Amino acid sequence: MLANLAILGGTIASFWTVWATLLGFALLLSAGSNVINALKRPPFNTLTSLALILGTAGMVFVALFSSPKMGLATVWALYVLWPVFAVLAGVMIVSRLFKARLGLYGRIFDSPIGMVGLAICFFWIIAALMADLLPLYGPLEALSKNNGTIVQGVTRKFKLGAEALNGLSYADYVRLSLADAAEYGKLYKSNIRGGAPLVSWVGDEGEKLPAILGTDKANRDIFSRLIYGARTVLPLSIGATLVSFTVGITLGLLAGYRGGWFDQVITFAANAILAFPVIVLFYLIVLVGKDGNLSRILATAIFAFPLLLVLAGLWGLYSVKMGRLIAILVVFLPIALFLYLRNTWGLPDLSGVGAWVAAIFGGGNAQREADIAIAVTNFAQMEPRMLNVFVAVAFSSAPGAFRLVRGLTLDVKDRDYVAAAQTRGENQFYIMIFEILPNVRGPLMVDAALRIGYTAILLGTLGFLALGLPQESADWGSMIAHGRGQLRFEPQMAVIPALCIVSLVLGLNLLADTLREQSLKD
Amino acid sequence: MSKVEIAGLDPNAPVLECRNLSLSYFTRAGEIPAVVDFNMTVMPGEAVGLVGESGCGKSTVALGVMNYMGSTGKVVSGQILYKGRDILTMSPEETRQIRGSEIAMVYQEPMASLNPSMKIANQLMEVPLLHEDVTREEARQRSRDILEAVRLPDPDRIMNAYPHQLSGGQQQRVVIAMALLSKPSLLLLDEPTTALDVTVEASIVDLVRDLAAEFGTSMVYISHNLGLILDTCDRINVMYAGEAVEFGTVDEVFNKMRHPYTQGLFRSIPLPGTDKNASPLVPIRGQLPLPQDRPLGCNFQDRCDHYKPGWCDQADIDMRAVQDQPGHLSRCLRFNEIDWTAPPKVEAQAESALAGDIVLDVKDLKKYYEVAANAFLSAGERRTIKANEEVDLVAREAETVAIVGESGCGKSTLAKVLLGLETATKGEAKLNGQVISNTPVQSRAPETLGSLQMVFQNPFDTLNPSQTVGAQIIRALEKFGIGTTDGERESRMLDLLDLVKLPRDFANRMPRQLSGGQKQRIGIARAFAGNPAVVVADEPVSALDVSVQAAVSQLLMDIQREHRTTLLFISHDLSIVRYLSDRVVVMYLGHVVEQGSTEQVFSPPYHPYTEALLSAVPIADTRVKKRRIILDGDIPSALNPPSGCPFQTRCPRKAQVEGDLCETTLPPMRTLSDGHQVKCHLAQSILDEMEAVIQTDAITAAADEGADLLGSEASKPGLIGRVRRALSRENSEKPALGSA
Ligand SMILES: Nc1ncnc2c1ncn2[C@@H]1O[C@H](COP(=O)(O)OP(=O)(O)O)[C@@H](O)[C@H]1O
Ligand code: SF4
Ligand code: SF4
Ligand SMILES: [Mg+2]
Repeated sequence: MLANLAILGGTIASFWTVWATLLGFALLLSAGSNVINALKRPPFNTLTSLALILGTAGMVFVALFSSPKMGLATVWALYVLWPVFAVLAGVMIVSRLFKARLGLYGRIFDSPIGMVGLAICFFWIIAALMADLLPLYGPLEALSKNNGTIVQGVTRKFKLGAEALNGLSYADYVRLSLADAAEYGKLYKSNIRGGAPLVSWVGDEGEKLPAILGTDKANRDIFSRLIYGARTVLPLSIGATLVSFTVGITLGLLAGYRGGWFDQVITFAANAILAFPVIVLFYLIVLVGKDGNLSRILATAIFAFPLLLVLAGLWGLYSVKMGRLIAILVVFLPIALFLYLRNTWGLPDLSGVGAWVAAIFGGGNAQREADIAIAVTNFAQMEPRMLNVFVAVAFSSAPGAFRLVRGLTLDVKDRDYVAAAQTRGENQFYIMIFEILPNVRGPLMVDAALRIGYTAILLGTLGFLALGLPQESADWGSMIAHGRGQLRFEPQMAVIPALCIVSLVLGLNLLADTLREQSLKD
Repeated sequence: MSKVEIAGLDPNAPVLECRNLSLSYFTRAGEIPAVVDFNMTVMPGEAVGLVGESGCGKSTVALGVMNYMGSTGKVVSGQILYKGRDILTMSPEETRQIRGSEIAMVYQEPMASLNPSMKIANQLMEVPLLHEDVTREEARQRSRDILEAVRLPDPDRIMNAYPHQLSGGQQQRVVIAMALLSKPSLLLLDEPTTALDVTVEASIVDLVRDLAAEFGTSMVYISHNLGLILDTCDRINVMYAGEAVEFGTVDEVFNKMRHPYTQGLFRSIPLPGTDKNASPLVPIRGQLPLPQDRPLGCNFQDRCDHYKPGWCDQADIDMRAVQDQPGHLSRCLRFNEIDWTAPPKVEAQAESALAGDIVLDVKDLKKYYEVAANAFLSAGERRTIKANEEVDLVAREAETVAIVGESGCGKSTLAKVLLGLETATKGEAKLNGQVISNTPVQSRAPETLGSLQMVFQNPFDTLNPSQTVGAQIIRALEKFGIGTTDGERESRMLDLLDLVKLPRDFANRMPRQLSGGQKQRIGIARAFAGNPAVVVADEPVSALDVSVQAAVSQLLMDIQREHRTTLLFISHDLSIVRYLSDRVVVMYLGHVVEQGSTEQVFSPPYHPYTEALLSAVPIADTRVKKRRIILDGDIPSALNPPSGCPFQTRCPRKAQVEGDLCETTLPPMRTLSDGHQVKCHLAQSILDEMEAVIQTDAITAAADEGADLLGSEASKPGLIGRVRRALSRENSEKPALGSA
C-alpha cells in the first residue's frame, strides 16, 4: 500500500515537474531578462514564487527519492518529449517576439497566467501533431510479441526471458535502484529491439524506450497511449464544440435578431435542455438509439447547422452578385452535401466503389486490396460511434452557446452600423452573419475555449460510462475507465489520464480568462 | 475633520488647491501623462469650470482630487491641498472620510453612482448613517428633505422607487441629492448633464447653481460645453493635452482670451447672430495629440495659426500672467504679439444653393407601435405607443430642414419610417412623388435605397468594427447598384474618400484606427455613396468634440451644397440648428408643434415649447441675455399621452388660455405667416406680445456696419435671405408652404 502511495506521489510529482518547467519557462519569456521583477508583479509576489520554487524542488526531491525510478520516468518522459518542448519553445518565443503585431493573440503574452495556459494548450496540440515522430509505441500496439515475451497478459508482469527481473511488476520496477533500473532498461530495450520498430530515429538501431508508465491490461504502453490520446481528444473536443457552437450561433442569431415567437420557443427549449440532467440525456441518446438511428437523426439535424450557416452567409454576401453566388454554390454544395450525408447516414454507400478501386489498384495483393477497400469505404466518414459524441456535446453545449449569442445579438443589433446595413437594404442573413457575428467574437472565443475544456471532460465522462468512443480507443476518458479496476494497485493507470484532462481544461481556462481580461483592457 | 473646522474656515483661503500636479496612468503601453503641471485654486463658494476636448485630462483631475484613480493611475508629483492639507499624505482612513463627507462627485452617467437593486431611500440614508452619528429616522427625514431641495416632485414616491423607475433627469437629481446630503464643501461635477436633454440640462444647471449658492458649496464643474460653463462658473480653466492652457475669470477668458486654443474653441461654435455664410465656423485643424506623442514645447503647436518655429517648440512653457490681469494666466509664449481681434482666416466662400422643387413630402404621417401588455402570451391585451401622431412636412432640393425636439418626441421614428425600417401606420411620405412610407427597406429598389440615406449619431457605432473602411463603402455601392465592376466601385470609393477629405489610404484602415471625426466622415461618405436625394442626419456631430464638430458640419454642408441634396438635420442643439438650417420643424410627443423658416421659428411669436427650448440652450457669449423658462417635469410617455394639447402637462403658458381648452382639445395647426405654423390655442394677441428669448442686441450694436442677424429682414446676403426670396417666389405659385 505504501509503495502505491509512493508511486502516486511520484506520479503527481513528475507531472508537477513537467508543468512547473512549463510555468518557469512562461515566466522567463514573459519577463524577458527581468525574471525577478516578473516574480514581484501580480499574480506572483516574492512569497508565492518562493513557495513555487521550493514546492517544485520538493516535488522533484519526492519524485527522485520516494521512488527513484519515478524520477527517472520523469526524465525519460522529458527525453521522449523533447522535440515537443523544442517546437513549443520555438512557437512561444516567436510569438512573444512578434506579440505587438499579433493582435489579441499577442496580448496573451502580456500575462504570465495566459502564457502558462497557452503553453499547456500548445503542448498538447504539438504533442498530438508530432506523436508519430516520437519514439512511442502505437496506441493499440501490445508489447507482447517479441523474443522471449516481455509482458505476460493481464498481470503486467515483466518477464525478461529467464532473467533475474522475472516477475517484476511495475511497482517493483519503480522501486528498483537506479543502477538496477539502468540494467533493466538495457535488457528491456534489447528485448524490444528485436521487433520491427516503428520509429528509427532514436539511436542508430532504432531503439525504443521502456514503458515509462507501465502498460495496461492489454499490454499497451500507457505513456504512448496518453500522447496519442491527445490525437483523439483534441480534434474531437474542438470539432464537437465547434459544431455545437454553430448550432448555438445560428439559433442565437435568429432568436436574438428576429425575436418574437421564434425566440420564445427556442429560448424555452434551450432552458428545458439545460435543466435536464445531462447524464440521463446521454443514456437516452446512446442507449435508446442503440441501433444508432436516434443519434443519426439527431446528427442529421445538428450537422445541418454548419451547412445552413455557410449557405446563409453566402446568400447574404452574394445576393447582389448572383453570378458569383451560383459559381460558388456549384463547387461548394456537392462537396458539402457529400460530407453531410456521409457523416450522418453513410450515404452514398462507397463499399461498391471500394471493391472496385481495390480491384484496380490492389495489384492482386489481398492484404493491400482489403486495406484499399476499407479506406475507400470509410472515406470522409467518421466512425458511427463518434456521432454519439457529437450529439451529446451538441446537447450539452449548444444551449449555453445559444444563450450567449442571443444575449450578445440583442445588444449589438441596436448599434448604428446594423441600422446602416438595414438602410442600405441588406438582407437579414448578411446582417446576422457579417454585421453582428464578427462583432461578438470576443466573448464567443472565450466561451469556446472554456467549452472545449468541458467537452474534453465530457468525452472523459462518456468514455468512463462506455457510452462514447470504442473501448480500445486511446482517449483519456476510456483510459480512466480502463484503469479504475487497478486503482488500488496501479493508481497511475487512471490518475495520469485524469491529470491529462485536468491539465488541458486548466490550460484552456487560463487561456480563456486571459483572453477575456486582455480583450477588456486597452 | 469635523464640521466645526469648516465653519471656521477662512473665506480667503482656498478650499482646494492643486499645486504643480502631475498625474499619470501606467499601462501596458508605458506611462501616459494624463495631466501635467496643473495648478488651480477653488475659493469657498466659488465655481471653477474645467473645459477642453475629451481626453485632455479633465476627468483625471477630478479623480485625482477624489484620490480615486484606480490601480493604474498615480500622482507623479505635486500636491492637492484640501483646506490647506495635502490629500496625498493623508491616511487611507482619512481620505475615505473626506471622500464621503467633504468632497462629493457627480458623474456623467447617473446609473454609475446608483445601485440598481436598492431603493432610493436606502441609498440616500446610507450617506448620513455612514458618516454621521444619526438615527435612521433622522437619516430618512434628511433624505426626504434633500429630495425636495433638488426639486423632485413627490419625494415620497421617489424614496420608495428603484433607480430604473426614474427618468434620466430624475436619476441625476437623485445623484446630486446624494452628493449634497453630506453637506460637502466641495462638489465635483464631471459632465453631469451630457447624457440629458437640453430642457432637463437647463433645469439641472439651474438647480446646481442655486444649491451651491444656498449651501455655500464650492464647485468644480467639468464640461466641454462653453455655454454651460458660462451659466455656472465664476472662473474657468481651459485644458489642452493634459495642461491647463488658460485660467481666468469667465469674463477674461470669454472676452479677452489670451491663448490661441481658447480662441479656436470659441470660433468653432456657432453663436447667435451668425449664419453659415456670413461667418462660417472655423474648425481647429488637426487633432489632439496622444499623450505619448506630445511635442516638445507648446502642445498646441501643430494646430496653432500663430506657431513660430524655433520659438514655440524649444522648451516646455509655463503659465504666465497676462499684464494688468493678475489672475489671468496663459500658457502661450506669444500672447503679447498676437492680434486678438483679427478676424479668422476664412476659406473662399461657396456660392450658396437655391432651394428647388419639393423632394420629400410627408403628409399626416402616423406611426403607432403595438406592444403586447403581456410578453409571453401575445394574445393578451395590447397597448399602443403613439410615436408619431401627426407629422406634416416638406423638404425641397438643396434645403436643410432641421427637426428638433427632446428625446422621445418621435424624431428617430420619423427617420425610421422615411428610411423604410418601419412602415407608416397612416398617412404617407413621398420621395420625388413616389410613396415610400409603406415600402419596407427590403422591398425598396436599389436606386430608392441609394437616394435616401442616413448619417448616424454615434461615431463609435456607425461603422462595423470588423470591416475595413473601404470594404464598407464598397458594400454600400454594391447595394445601391453603382458601378458594374469591382474596379469601378473601388475607384468610386476612393473618390468618396476624397469627397470627405480623408487620405485615400484610409480605405484599408479598420474603424478603430480612426478618430471620432474621421469615422463620422466615413459615415458621411457612405451616406453619399448613392448620390442621395435626401440625407437624414441624426445628430451627426453631437458626439464629437466642438473643434471637430465645426469641421464635420462644414463638410456636410459643403457636400450637400455641391450635390444639391436635401438634408433632414435631426438635432437637439438649437445653436447649430439655427446656424445651418433653412427651415426648422419642432416636434413634441409625436406632433409637429411649430414649423417655419429658421428666422420665423427663432423669433417671436413662438410656440410655448419652442420658447422653452430656446431658453434652455446654453450660449457661450457673455453679451447675450436670455429669458429663463424652466420646464418642470419630464416629457410624458408616448404610451400614455396627455389629452388635448400634448404639451399641456409642462406648458408654462397654459394659464393664458381660457378654460380647459388645452386639456381637452388638440389645438389645430395655425398658419401665422407665410409658411410659419404653430399648433397652439394661445390667442393672437398673446402671440403678438411675446418677447424674444435670446436678446442679441448687444452683439448687434457692437458689430461693425450691422452684421446681419437672423430675423433682421432687409438686404440679407446670406443663404437664408436668398432661400426666403426663393421660397416667396415659389409661394406666389403654390399656396401654403410646409403644409402643402
Ligand atoms: N484608466 C486609464 N488608463 C490609461 N489612460 C487613461 C485612463 N483614463 C484616462 N486615460 C488617458 O488620460 C488622458 C486624459 O483622460 P481624461 O482625464 O479622461 O480626459 P477628459 O476627462 O478631459 O476627457 C487621455 O489620454 C486618456 O486616454
Ligand atoms: S506657444 Fe506658440 S504654438 Fe503654442 S499657442 Fe502660443 S503661439 Fe501657438
Ligand atoms: S395649446 Fe395650451 S398647453 Fe398647448 S402649448 Fe398652447 S398654451 Fe400650452
Ligand atoms: Mg471626461
